[in-house]
Amino acid sequence: MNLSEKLKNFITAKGKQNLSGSASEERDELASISHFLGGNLMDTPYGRHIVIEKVFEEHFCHAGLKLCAALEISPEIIKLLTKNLSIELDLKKTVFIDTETTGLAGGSGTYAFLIGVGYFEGNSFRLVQYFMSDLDQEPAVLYSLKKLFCNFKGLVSFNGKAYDIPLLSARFLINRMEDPLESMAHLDLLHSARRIFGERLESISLSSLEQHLFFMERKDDVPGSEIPSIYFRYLREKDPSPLKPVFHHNQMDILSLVSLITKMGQALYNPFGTETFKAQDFYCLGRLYEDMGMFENSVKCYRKALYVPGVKDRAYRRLSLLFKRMGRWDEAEKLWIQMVQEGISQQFALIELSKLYEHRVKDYEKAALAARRALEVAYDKRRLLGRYHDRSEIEEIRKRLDRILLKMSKGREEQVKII
Amino acid sequence: MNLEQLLVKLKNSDRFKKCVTRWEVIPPKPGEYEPFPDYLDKRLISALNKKGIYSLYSHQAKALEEVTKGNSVVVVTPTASGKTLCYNLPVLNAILRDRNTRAIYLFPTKALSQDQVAELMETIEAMGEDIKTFTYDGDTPPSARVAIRKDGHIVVTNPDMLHTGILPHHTKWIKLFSNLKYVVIDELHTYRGVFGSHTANVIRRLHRICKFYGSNPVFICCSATIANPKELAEKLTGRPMTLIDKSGAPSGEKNVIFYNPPVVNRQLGIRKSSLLEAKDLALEFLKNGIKTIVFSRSRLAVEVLLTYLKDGMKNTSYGSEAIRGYRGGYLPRERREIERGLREGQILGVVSTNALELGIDIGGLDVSIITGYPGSIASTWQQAGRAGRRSSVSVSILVASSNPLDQYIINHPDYFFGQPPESGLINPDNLYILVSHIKCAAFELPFEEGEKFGVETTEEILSFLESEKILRHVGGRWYWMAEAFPAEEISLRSASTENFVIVDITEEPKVIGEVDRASAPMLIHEEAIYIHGGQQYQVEKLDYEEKKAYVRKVDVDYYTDANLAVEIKVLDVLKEQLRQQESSKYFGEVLVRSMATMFKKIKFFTHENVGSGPIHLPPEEMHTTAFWFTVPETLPGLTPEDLKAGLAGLCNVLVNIAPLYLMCDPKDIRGVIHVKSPFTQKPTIFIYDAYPGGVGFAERLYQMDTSLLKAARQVILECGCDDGCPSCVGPLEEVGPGSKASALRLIQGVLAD
Repeated sequence: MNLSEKLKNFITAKGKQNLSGSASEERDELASISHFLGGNLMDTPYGRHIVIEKVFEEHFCHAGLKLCAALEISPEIIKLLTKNLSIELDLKKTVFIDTETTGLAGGSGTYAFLIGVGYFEGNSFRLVQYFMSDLDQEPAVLYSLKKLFCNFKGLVSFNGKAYDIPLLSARFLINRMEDPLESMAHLDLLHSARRIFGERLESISLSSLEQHLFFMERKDDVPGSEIPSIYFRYLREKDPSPLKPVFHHNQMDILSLVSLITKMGQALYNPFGTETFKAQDFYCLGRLYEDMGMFENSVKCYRKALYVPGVKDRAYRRLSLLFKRMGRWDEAEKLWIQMVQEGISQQFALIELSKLYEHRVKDYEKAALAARRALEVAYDKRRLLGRYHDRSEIEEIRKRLDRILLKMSKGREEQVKII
Repeated sequence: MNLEQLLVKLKNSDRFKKCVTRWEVIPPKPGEYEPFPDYLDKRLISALNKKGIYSLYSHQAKALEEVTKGNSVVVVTPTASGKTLCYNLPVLNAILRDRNTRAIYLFPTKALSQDQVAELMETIEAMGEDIKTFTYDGDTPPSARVAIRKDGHIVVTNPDMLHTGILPHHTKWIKLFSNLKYVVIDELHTYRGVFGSHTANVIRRLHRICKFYGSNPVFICCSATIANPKELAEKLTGRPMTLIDKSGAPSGEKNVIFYNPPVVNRQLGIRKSSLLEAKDLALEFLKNGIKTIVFSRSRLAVEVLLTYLKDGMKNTSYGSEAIRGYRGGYLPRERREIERGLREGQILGVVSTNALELGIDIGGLDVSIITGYPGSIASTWQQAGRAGRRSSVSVSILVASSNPLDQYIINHPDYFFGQPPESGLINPDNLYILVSHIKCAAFELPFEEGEKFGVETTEEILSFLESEKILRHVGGRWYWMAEAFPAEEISLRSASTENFVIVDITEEPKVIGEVDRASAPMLIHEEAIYIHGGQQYQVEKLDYEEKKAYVRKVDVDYYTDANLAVEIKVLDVLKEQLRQQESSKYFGEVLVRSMATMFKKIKFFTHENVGSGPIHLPPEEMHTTAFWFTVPETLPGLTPEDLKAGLAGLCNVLVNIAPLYLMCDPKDIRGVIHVKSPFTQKPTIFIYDAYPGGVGFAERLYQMDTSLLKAARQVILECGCDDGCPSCVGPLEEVGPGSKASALRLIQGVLAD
């Protein structure tokens, strides 16, 4: 059947059946779904919606960590995690958030049908899941969410900066409600984890981090890609049972956010005495500390990374440049010489040596020697790469060498004059 | 010699005069001017003064006045009459008054939008004001997009991008939509048929989003001359329009000459090649330093002509570099350079496809030579309009090819000069198109009960989509209920936008141009001579998967031309009905397969065939819907030749008149005849939708076939021509003698009334 016929058949058939149920039936249905999910009905000026709450007491552990241990993370560590010196994020006034949506492509027709939030009440942790049991409950859910956010100042998410938060902002806008999220400080743990484990772990997903940091494997977890179709099926059939694993998935995600921030926070408290950081992580940590101006820690991290394949070359370069930046010239020189001897970024090290001898030590002989050797290395490289080689490299070294030679000859002339 | 002198020379040349079938002189017209109105911002006036503009043409002043009053307008004026000011003036004036004002400019192609941005920027720079104009299309880097969404006063884009990139993400464009005061639609006449119907629905979606954010923009449309600009603009935008079609721009005397190349073989009636005649005519002007544009119908013809003209100008003081080619497939940078060269005068002559027919600013030219009838009256006037100065004489010469349609037009100049240009037809309520955009609209914002989307039956369609589980009806609204992103599955155009890139490997590999997917098998098969800017390249390897052709510079004395075989295969009959006797009608799904089979090597200048070769490329296939019907195989007194002429003629009439009933463009449907169809075993006429999947045209034709055949009969009976013309069965040379009578017999045989 083609489109217009389908439409015609549909319209003639429609008159015969009564599509809508009565209002009281709908209320009963909502109550029974809520009951099944273990939730309560919440009344708002925009209507009712289902909310499911759970409290995790002080001693509760997830992934081997007590949830409330997160509260011990100091403001300095939070700054490190966000790589932001001015952030003010008090975990006592912060909401951990994760949403489940009707599509991954985004756009204004994608809804967040389940919004999970968690926060501390004293040392216990309350997890609240706001659920749209039908699409018209969105304003009610957003209203409750907004009301809750009034009590908090910060957010912790995993990939929320790119995904959950813009999506919620769009939902507030479409429902003509003021957006409470704009003014909140936001710590996106995906970014924190990528900054630290980006070199060592192939994938920085929440499940990969659970595996590698907590040695935890979720059993019977719903794959994220199947969640939209589960929800659509529920909307059509109003059978809430396939939703239970989705609620569980969302809950686990939020608990893992707490454990992840705790794990990373504890490790950063004692970076050199922890099992959490390994191998390539130290290169990443070196960069983080360097960016945050914590040079001593940075030097220590880079030193550890000098022995790690894959980041070794970059660690040598970074460390030597950091010494240069800190004015620790002897150590820098030693490192560059070592690099030349061991064949690590030779051309770079030789040019740095040449700069050092020319400008600081003012030993032009040595400076010229280093520049000449740098030129040799560059020529070797050109022979290997052919026309793909960057010509400007060679020209720059030549210019440097010419300048040094000129300074040398001037120096000799002056000596001659004095004599 | 100057142009006037040359014209006198041509008038006195017996050889030239013998070929002229019509020499129409359009007298000069003085300009009508208006002073700048007092509400026009002083900064804008002084920027215009800097460009040498001290008053407005009457149509510009009228457009400014109407738009400022809040009325939507459609401006129809000739090429180079300063139509861009008709929208730039009111828009810039409003932005100067209130910096929150926002505008969207829609252009049908990317090339046009880049050109317009450049001109707008110049005016803005001349004012020294901080008004931000950005192009937002597929090429805009993600890093620039955030700034455009927030700060762009004028966002220049195309309907496709509005459809997939902007409307579905409207929350990111809150600033634009809350302050949208103007929507500019340039080249209105290109929004015809299916493309126009899609765009009309995109604009319906735009209205919904604007309403949500509390804005109600004024529309400013510009169109080339068509029969129904006001109607088209109103249907496209859903807004009442004020028509401004009286140009105040002055124009010099204009000569329009119809030229039929001389017969070279009287027995066979073979005429001299239109390409070679166009070359000789163009050189006559170019050698005298007269700025000339030569239009030709295909990209290949552009390059062949360019080769000839460069060769002809080689030993003149202007040199071969003064002649350039211009067509789709040149890279944007090269095109900008050519446009600038034309405006600034370094380029004397240009050979172009209809790419330069649209409003790209190339300044005034003196002569336009149209090689082959462009296929429509409107296009012919557009191309002729490229030649035309404000005060001096200009000339347009239509050089006919031996194609039957060309021969008809050139031999019946009254037909051309007496007809209004074609209408732009659209049907925004086409069910297929409408339903696909209702899906997109529901994704963007839920539908409220009682809300109308173009048609009264909106609610029925919403309920239907609900029953198909695509929408959900709850709490008095219809919500989008699918994972998919609907706009991405709906293309506004028939042709895919995929391109093949052409890589020159003579030295270091570099990309020199591109070819659209549909033309690739014809133009860049292996061994083809690909000509670019007059330089020949031979295709060494065509990587069909990766969409790359590797070419190497060559210097040979031939070019290549490929043959395309099109066949239609019935896949599924969805409906059939025996009309009576031996005639049945069908509606069903078909596969249209076009395949490049072989190529010929054609020698330059003599156009001899000097060799050929096979092409081994997969066919291009399109799955679509078709309407077909059989006619009785034997009618008393109808010879096989008569049957064939009758079928061809009847098919032509039906394809000519069907767009009026379908409200589509003639290019949206195609007709094919089979004297004995392998499927029906009978003489058969097929008419199919030229869109993948079909858009409901064939189905509609199946339903209304009786009235369509009756209308065809009336057209043939009422047509005053002797034995066929483009308005009825087609030119005699194409369909054969006696087509009119045979077609009438066939209709009689089918209808039997």
